[in-house]
Amino acid sequence: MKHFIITAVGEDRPGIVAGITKVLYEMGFNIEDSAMTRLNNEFAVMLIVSTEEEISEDTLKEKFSNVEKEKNLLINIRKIPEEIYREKEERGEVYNIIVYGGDKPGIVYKVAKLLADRNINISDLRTEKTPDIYVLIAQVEFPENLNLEDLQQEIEKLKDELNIDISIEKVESVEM
Amino acid sequence: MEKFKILTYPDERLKKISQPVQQFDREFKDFVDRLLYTMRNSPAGVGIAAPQVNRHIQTIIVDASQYKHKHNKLNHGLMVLSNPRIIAHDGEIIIREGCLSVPDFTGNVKRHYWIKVEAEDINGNTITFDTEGFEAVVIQHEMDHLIGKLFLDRIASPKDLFRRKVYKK
Repeated sequence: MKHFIITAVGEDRPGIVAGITKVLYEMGFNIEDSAMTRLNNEFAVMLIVSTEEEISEDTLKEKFSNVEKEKNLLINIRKIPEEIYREKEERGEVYNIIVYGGDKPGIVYKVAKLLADRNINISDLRTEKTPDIYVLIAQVEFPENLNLEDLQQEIEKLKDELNIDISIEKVESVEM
Repeated sequence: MEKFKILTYPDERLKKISQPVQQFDREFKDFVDRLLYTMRNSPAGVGIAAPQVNRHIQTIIVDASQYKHKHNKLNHGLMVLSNPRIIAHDGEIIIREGCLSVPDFTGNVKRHYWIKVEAEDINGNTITFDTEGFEAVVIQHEMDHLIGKLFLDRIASPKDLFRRKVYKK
């Protein structure tokens, strides 16, 4: 099985998803994983697709040239080496981190750096802002040997430094 | 005792509508015993519905007392409820739910925070009670099975569905 990652961005309008997935459908590709969302007035598509066919990045790119022009998109395609592709999985303990406060430079950077310095992996992150409030919501994976007390102390420091609120909650699901 | 086999999606039998319980006889009680045994011997084990084991009658078992959860403040312990009806509700709550019948996913689902329930107990006597938080969510989750609904039908938004953790071999 060959896997590719396809990204496409362009001004939001109806038919972007249909245009892109039509090409994939007609070539018999599978969509293995995807995130498609609107950011402001831009629509962004990220897809992991798979096929049994031998096909190069360039040939695949060529197949998208019509929809790229028609919908005024910027499409990027990259082959994922087989040794890197793996089934979607969560690694380590999963936590939600919610950060909010008045908008100021460096909220995302400083929170992300705090996480990166402790080898905490971000699996999902989004931000929202209004004129008054900046909100960051992330799902992260804690490594096994993480010192929670140490992390909590660093978070308290960052809260004071930026005058923001940060809460961390373990994601627990209940089998019903 | 032997556990029932739990149906997992995409088994079409999970989508069938269950019928009201009319006979609260020995056979029914034996079935409930085995359903309870199946629930007790499953992960978490806070709830189960008869159709999950391919018996399409309106019976659910819940036991919120066995599970520590931040929204679990009030619970009635083990309850066997047949023909349950929600006769009043108030508020909203979102909990990350999993399901024995949908083992690969979890999801954030919006439910009523407070519910008033009318149902028949194990002997067929009508009972009424109200509950809130975690126990209310479990009851609503199990009641959905009786009308062929899964938590997947009620995911709050595209960002609220999650692939379950896969442990590396």
